[in-house]
Amino acid sequence: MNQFRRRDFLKASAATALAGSSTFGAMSRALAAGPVNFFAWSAGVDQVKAHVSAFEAKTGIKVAYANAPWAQYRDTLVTKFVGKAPLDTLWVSDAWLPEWAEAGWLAPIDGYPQLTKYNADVDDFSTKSMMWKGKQYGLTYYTDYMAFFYDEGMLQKAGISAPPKTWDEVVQQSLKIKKAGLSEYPLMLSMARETWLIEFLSSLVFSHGGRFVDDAGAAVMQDKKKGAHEALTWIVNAVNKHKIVSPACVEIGELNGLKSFTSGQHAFAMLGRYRIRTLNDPKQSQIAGRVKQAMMPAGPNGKHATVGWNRFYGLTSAAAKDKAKAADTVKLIEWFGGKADGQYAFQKLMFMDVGAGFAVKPLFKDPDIIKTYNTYSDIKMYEAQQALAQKKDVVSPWFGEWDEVNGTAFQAAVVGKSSIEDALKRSADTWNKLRRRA
Amino acid sequence: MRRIFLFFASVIFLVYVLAPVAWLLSSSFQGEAEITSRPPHWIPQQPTLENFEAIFQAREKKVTYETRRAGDPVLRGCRRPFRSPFRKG
Amino acid sequence: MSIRAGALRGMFGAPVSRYDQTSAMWLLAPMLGVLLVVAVFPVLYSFWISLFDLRLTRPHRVPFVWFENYQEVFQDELFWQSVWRTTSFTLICVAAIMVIALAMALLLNEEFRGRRFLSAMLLVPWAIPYVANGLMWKWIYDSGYGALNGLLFQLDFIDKYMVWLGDSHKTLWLIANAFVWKEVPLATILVLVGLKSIPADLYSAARVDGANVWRRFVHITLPALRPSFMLVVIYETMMAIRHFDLFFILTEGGPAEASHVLAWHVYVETFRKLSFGTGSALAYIMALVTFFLAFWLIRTLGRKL
Repeated sequence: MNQFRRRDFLKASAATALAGSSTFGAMSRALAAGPVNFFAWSAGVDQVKAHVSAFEAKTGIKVAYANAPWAQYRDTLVTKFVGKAPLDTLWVSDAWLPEWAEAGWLAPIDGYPQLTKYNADVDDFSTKSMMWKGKQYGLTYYTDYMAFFYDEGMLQKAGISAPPKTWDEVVQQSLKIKKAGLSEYPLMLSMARETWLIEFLSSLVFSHGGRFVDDAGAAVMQDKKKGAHEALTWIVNAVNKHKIVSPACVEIGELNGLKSFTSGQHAFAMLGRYRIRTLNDPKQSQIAGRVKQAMMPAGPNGKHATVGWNRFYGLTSAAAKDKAKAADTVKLIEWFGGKADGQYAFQKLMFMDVGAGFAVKPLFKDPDIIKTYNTYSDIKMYEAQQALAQKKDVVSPWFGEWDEVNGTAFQAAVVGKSSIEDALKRSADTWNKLRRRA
Repeated sequence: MRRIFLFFASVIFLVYVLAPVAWLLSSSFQGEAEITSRPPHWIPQQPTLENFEAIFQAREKKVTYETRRAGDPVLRGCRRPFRSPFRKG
Repeated sequence: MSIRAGALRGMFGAPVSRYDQTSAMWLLAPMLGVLLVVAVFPVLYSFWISLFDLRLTRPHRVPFVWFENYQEVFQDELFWQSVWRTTSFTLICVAAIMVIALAMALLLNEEFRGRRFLSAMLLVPWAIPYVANGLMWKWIYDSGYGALNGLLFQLDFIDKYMVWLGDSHKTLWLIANAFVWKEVPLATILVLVGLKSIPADLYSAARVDGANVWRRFVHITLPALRPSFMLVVIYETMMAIRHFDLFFILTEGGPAEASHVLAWHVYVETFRKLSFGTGSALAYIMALVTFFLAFWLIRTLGRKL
């Protein structure tokens, strides 16, 4: 009799447990008919909030907007997706599209003509960056590329009249500036392991005429001529031999690097092109008015190439499943990524306030935009460098995992824990292993 | 003798336990410009409450085109005269 | 097992009336239900996952691989490096905590004015959340504007700002310092409790016998503190082996894996590489190692507890 009691008791406990967990499930479903959950990284926060207020006022649909720093964005989103946190639309980077599409977290927007009609106004390269296996996964948020900036005032003080055209010239000019006592580490290079790292490394590799991966998708980074070998050698020498880049670079993220450059400690910096706005703003930068953009220096076998990226509004599968929620979310995506009240308002807002590049061609003719850009930079340089921007060649479903290993390998070479050949071999081996396993 | 020893030991104890927190407190009253001083200002020379304001007011104010701040929030973006992104007509 | 009225035995053999036993079980059922869901089920489920090759970016193909994940983990060189780093981190931290906690407890055990104030201040590091602690030390160690650099520079110990966290030789030591600083209050209190339970007569008797401060310390204080020390060692070892927060905030396992410890390794495997199979296997290995280490420590060192 006791044994039956024990069994009943355990059954009762298990039943309570199951009842409890299904109650939680029911609760989360009930909450789904609520605001549109919009997640982004922490750029243009006030701009997004202002545009959201306008959306809420116009449509009466509530929007729950939250953001996280770009440097930890992928980690934050992966945790959210895995934990099934409520998420309807979000900013996505081109680098993660294959990974998140394969994991089933993003839904294609091909079935929404009110969104795809905007493709006509957008650069082809932008639209292609949002496509994976023939389906389109979003509308462009912004498109930009890695730029090379220099402090004209500091260069003039050192007696240099023109910015460097090659990476060798960067070394020579930096040494001159160092000797003049104007800066201890003339080139600001951010090498911290965060979301930005692959963009910095890609621009260095591309401008040296190399690539990580060839057109067939096989790893070539270890190749001395076609790969990343020259670029990595240049970085290692810059830190350890010439001492023109601080050894703290492996600790410095893009944001800290930006702050460091704005405080006047460097002569050259590699930053996203949109940062020119902040760099020349007297309220945010101590070197305002002196920063100019130059073409990305070329390696001995390279050209002035740089890396270009595209970020976009994605639609989550969770939102797509619920008809009502999908309709609301699509309206929000159109309000931000397409036209709001018949104009590309958000894109213009982001450009005017934050300097973020846009992908919608009609805005290039907007007189406000032309006038404003020429007050802090040169629109011809903007277009000239954009023409030479290349898409990242490592975008794949295993990009996240490979990026970890590659970033660490480059860091190891820079701090001297590994030889350049070993670091690149490690990166190449990982790429090939992941590719075979997929 | 014992008292002198205890006094010095107490001072070392307090410094070890409290110094980092004291720096934390001092930093929280320094504005964006002052906090990046080299060497650092141990006692804020231009104390400000803007950090606390930012935390406690984050949720309350509704941001519209009129009240938005431009620039990078990390570098304390500033108000812009450019009003609305919508062109009239 | 037949039931004879009046001789009913409960689960543990003690005689119990039928009425008490039933209602007791029904009252316990909800709490046990919660425990099953929250504690038991995840542990069993994660073991189940560790037998599959589950990758989030390939949700349609989840092969059952028996113990291949464990094999892969043990063959990974980075795993063994993480184990080594975790071991050295733990040893450094526990040693430092013991020494500092003992010194502080000895001070607080003395009678003097202001002792209460000192005891209250002791709790400050303990009160700070782990994440806030990490951010605070990250700012202090900052190579561009940090307080550590500033202080050493002003005192003329260094002539220009140095790289701290980014220097792979210093990384683990600096993280250990941040960890020790936060853990010392609890350890101090544990040792202080031990100190206070030493009868004063022992010291008086020793003084009468002519023992000086040092001999009293070595022959009375230290042996009497053995149970407290054992408690501190066991607890702090467990905390140090599993610690994650500081590694995430200060260095994210870098630079170039200088601070890539076991807890960080599990995180990278699971949430960055999105490989839940090997991640669960790693978590399980870590849990088992911690469990057996605790078991061994308590058995061999905790005899006098």
